[in-house]
Amino acid sequence: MGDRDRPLFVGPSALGSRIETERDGKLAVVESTAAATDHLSEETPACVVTDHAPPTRDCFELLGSTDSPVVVAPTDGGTSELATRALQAGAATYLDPTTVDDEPAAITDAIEQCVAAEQADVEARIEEFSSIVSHELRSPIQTAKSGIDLAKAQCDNRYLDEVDETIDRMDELIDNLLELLDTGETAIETTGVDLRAVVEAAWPDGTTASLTIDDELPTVEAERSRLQQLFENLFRNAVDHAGEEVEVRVGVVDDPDSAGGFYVADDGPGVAADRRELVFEYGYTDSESGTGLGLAIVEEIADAFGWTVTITDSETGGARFEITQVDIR
Amino acid sequence: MADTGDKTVLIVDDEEMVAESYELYLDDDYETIVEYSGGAALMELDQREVDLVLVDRRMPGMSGDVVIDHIEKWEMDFQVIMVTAVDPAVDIIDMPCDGYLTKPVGEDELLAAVDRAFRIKHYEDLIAEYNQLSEKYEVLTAQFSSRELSSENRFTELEARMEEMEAEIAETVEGFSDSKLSDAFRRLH
Repeated sequence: MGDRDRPLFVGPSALGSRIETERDGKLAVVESTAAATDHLSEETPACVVTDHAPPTRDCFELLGSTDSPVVVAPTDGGTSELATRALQAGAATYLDPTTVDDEPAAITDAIEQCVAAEQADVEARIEEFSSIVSHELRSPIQTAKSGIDLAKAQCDNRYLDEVDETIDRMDELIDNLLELLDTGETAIETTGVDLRAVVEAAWPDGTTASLTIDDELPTVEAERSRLQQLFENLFRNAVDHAGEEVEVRVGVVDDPDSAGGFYVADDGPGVAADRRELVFEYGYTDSESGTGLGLAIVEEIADAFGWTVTITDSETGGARFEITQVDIR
Repeated sequence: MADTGDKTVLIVDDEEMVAESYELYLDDDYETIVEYSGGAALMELDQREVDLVLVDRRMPGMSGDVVIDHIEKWEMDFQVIMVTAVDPAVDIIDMPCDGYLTKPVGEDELLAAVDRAFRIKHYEDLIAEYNQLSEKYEVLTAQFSSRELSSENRFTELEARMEEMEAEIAETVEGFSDSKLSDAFRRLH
């Protein structure tokens, strides 16, 4: 959930700073509901924890004015009536800090649960959206492709081929959009991944292009499906720009300054120095069949792993994508 | 697998044009029947023998999921390939189908999936028969000496048939065009 800010605590600053310590500084603390309202006009916290001690701290005023999940934690002790009212007014959780031994730890737990629930909720909504998008868009594409093939069986017409290619591009675009949704918004869990196995799995079937693995590839800290996506997009990019006869090489970046890393190089036309930043932008393409999303997704995935992508020239003057800052196991 | 002409594929998709295109792709190699709803497909299955069902997952009235649940309940012995526009979720693990394709599906992809499903079926049949034979072989070799058995014509025929089948199983495994699948099968032997 990239667009939510750090959680907010509304209550006594002494308790606030103890929670802040528990959360390694990832917490904003304000003393009053008025200050919280100001804060909320600037930021959208992943979670708001609020005391209830009117008039300075009024959880009900806050509950009505934020979309963030709210934990109500009355530091002077609560009542069951307050709990019921708070939950009815839309509080995500109610926690009476006076009933626990370790207040900061209990509130920190509540914040973490709240953030996790919100994240799960976002992921569920995205998944539902993706599933609707994929069905609503891929079904008509199937129908169109079927129609083209049926028409081609009856007559030979160059326009049919052109429409066929257009439909293939739309199909690729939809795949890219769905990948983007998946990459941008869902949590990443990394494990040790055998780079060579992923490279081989990502290499397209039935291509005349050739793949050479230059070095013994290491095991890297990543999420396999996204890493495979990264390679698939780089390989597709090479074939799109350098043609079906392209020779692609994958190996280890041998530079003491750049920590761990690997490269994907081709013997195609390369990328001019003044366009090396541009190619990662959404929608930028100089290939007729490109969607302008493939490399943007590569950068997005690399960012998600904390890696850096740069473009240089390969030995043959083609493009060489270097992925660095990689955690090698 | 050389002989595919006698295999029948039932195509089930509510989109007429889609169903017809599948028919076009498969027509050269297989007998095809087309139905446009889950209900009609089940009625067809009740009356005719088919070897493979290619079924769309989302259809109005009766979904592909319901169709294949019925097929499983009726313990019908043929291959099932599910075709869908939705990216697969983990629930496909429990789904009683032998293949899963994501739309849009083109001619090559469809033919490859159907061929693969038939190869798997062929492989399963071979293994089942081979297991039966090797069971009998074990019993007989435990009961009689090899000298006694070697004079029995029926036993030498059994041995020959088993050898023949071993070769055929190996050949079938080699024939899987997907190298990952052939590797997996090879590990089994």
